[in-house]
Amino acid sequence: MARSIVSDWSQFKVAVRTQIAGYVQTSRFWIVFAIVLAIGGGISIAFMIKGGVFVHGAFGATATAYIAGLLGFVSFLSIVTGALFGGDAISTDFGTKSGFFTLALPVKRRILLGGRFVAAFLVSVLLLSIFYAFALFGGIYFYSFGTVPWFNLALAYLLDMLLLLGILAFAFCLSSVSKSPAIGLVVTILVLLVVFNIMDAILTALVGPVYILWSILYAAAAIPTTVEYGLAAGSPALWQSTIIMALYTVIFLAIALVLYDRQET
Amino acid sequence: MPSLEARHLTKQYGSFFALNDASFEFAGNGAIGYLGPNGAGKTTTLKMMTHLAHPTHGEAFINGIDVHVDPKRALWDVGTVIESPEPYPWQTGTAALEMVGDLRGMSRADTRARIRELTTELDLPPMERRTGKLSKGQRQRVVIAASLLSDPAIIILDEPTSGLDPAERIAIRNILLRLKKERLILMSSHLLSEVTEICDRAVFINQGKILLNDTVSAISSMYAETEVDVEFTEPIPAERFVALSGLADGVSLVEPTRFRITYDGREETRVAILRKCVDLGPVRSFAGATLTLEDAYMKLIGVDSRAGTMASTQGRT
Repeated sequence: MARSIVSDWSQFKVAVRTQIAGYVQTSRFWIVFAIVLAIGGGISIAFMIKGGVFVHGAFGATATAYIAGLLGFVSFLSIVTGALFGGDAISTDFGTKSGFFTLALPVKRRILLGGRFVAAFLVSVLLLSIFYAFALFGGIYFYSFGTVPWFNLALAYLLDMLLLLGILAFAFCLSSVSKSPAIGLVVTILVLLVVFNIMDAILTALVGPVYILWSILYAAAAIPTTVEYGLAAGSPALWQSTIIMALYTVIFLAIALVLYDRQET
Repeated sequence: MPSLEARHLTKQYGSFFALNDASFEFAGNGAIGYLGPNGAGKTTTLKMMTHLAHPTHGEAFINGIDVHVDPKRALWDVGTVIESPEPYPWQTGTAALEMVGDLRGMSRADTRARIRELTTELDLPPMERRTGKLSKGQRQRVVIAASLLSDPAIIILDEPTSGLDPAERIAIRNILLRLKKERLILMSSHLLSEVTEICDRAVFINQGKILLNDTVSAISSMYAETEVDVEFTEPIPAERFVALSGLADGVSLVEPTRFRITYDGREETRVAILRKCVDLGPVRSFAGATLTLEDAYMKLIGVDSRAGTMASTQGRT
């Protein structure tokens, strides 16, 4: 059976396809999907029942307020999504015997990991887009087409994609630390949701706002929708958020690639 | 150009050498058995030959390509089974093999045709079932199928029949016997009978050092040349072998009527021993002992069966 060596690009597409199949065929995809439906759908149904007037405060006062309120969950969703899809990206090969199956194949490890990263990103984008769709269609349905803050919503969406890249890169990097895929997932969620917030609080108390920390990073995604109400104290400017998230992506993905390339089964 | 070559391969963890300056080269077709006790360095060698571990020193080449410089090209025509690998548990058997086929540049039609062939040959389990739901033996067969999927010219196997039942082992053995006619197979195994049946060559390794690398027949004769088996038609009391003192270095009972006599290997000593044996009783046969690979293994590596540990003895390289 004569075979010529296939290109890295072809193998990259195989890696993406395989990983997406893996996400869809395991419970993690459906867990995030259920969370997205529960939050997005739950709030929408509550609005329908209450006829567009939310019982607490100004959450539903305007279309912008409604959308901003919903997008307040985006950071949490992004972290859960990133951790579930990236928290075992590397440990799945070195913490189980799957690495002996995959890594002895004639394919560059960085191609495999790159494919996994893109797959994780695409699946995360799909799920978060569903959530954004709830915000968008809720805004149109409960208020009016003209009152939806289109530019802010688009900007929030783009920033959230950057946020996802940063979280996934961080999760991929962290997944090389643990040998157990399950522990990798838990550690990633704990670090992103708890440890970084504590560190941020401590450092902010000691030296004031520190833009390189995680809480700033994920707070940045909500900037466009909080314009109407003013930025929270200590929040970075839009350009700063963009740079921070891009740096997180580049630095942690590079570390993850180097670690994956050098690790031994 | 050798198809498989290790040049001074060394793997060191602190002061411990998992593999110490191992060199070998193999070309052409045939099967090579890689033998040694647990922890000898077999799997470490195979991992470094397949880019699963990186050498501290030395180089590994496949078809002249450095495995650690260009692993994709080096491993392109190599099928491997290292340390009981497992496909991703969420993949069905078919999906796992299709992924391997895709990464190896096979068309989907070729992959599916090959899966059908291997299903018959290896009696593969239901391939629509997730591999995580298969038994260890079933999974091992899927993994072996993956290693043979692209019909590679070189096959590297680490304990390939581990976890298989006797019928499955026979099936794998027959496949390897067929493949070695046109392929180069490097396999580690604890089953010396398996290696004896399949392999043309054997490499003995212990404590990270290669002790011996030769053909199976040469190894057998190498260790057989100083021993002779004599069989009598009736049991002979052991004390009567005192008559061989000065000629034999040792006498051991193999069966009630059969003894193995160790001597200095010289022809005249052998003739003198035969004469003495004829005096001891009616001799049915007198022949050089044909040692199995197992005997060579025991002599070379040494086993303290009571302690259950293996110790290295001085060997030949």
